[in-house]
Amino acid sequence: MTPLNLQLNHLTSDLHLTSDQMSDLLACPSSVLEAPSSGDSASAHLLVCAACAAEFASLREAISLFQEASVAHADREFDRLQTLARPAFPVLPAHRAYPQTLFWVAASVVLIAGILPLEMRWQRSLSTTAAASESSAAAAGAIAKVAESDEALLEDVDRELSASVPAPMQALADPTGEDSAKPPMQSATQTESQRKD
Amino acid sequence: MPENVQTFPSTGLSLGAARDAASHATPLDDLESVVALYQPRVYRFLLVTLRDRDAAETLTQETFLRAWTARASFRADCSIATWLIRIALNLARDHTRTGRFRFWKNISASAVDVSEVAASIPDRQGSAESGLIAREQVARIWETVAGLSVRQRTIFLLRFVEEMDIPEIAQATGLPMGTVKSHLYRALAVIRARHSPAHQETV
Repeated sequence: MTPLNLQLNHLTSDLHLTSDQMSDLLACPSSVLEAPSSGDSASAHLLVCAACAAEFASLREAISLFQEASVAHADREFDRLQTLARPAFPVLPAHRAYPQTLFWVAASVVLIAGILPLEMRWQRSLSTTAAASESSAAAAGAIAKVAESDEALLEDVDRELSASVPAPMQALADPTGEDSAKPPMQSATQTESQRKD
Repeated sequence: MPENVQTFPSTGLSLGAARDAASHATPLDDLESVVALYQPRVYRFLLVTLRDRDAAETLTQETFLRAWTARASFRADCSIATWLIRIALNLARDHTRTGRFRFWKNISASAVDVSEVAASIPDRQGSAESGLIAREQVARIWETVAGLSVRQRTIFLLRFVEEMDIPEIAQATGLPMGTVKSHLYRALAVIRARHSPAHQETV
């Protein structure tokens, strides 16, 4: 601020503090404000300008309240952490233990997650193979049974075909007892030759 | 120094630095005392900066871990508090750099609510009305600070919550004093505009 502005600020209250001047006042410690130096025009202006003084006081009060509230809230949160069941801020040892434990837990989870699907797939393939072999054995057995029964049927047919005269068509036994041993064709031939003689 | 601290892995610490740490005594060797003395302050700074309880807690631990690991590099050219705040500041910056932080912050149950902070104003035996006005003022500043740029916010919080002076802030942030002042003034101008919108500016 130039000396001219300084003079103006002292003489009139129409002019007000700039943004930088206000920031300057807000940023400086309370002790400086309480004992302003003679050359400090901004703080001198506050004495003659009610509007700037009111605005400054209001801003300072708001920032002060903000600081008090932030500190009180943070302190309360810190105390709450201290009273929690877990040790509050187990700074270094816990920090070291955590990643190792986490690492092993994560490694186990990854391992299980990797192995479990493989195991399940393997077991599934095993069971399907076993089921397939069982079903194929059963099918083979059934086929063998059918083949066996077919064979037996064919054998029966062959036996019946190989017989010269079916059993129901065999000559009846001669009740007289003659030539009963001779075949009927032979006896018929003999009768015919006897008739020629 | 606590015995259990000795076994800490020397993450990010070179062998030479480790030897230095072993041979040169530093104020940080008595870690228990340092933690007891500065932990609330570091936690408070991280809480108001990040506005997230869990993140503040985690980064507070990380701050002391880093401080212990790099204790050999502490040259006492600034106070221990400033040095710790500097570490915390770097950690907070790394933490907030990712968009993931912003996403989780919005839905996190551990996010600090403005009403909680506003309700934390110490009772001054005032009227109910003045209490209400004070809470409104705190809430307004809290929200305005959230809208500041990262540097402006950091510098504002260091000045008005941690009550650090400009040279200390310059040391903690690694910025020149002029830059610190400039950011602080801009932050205050934003707060002034929000707090008293009809402020006149003539000179």
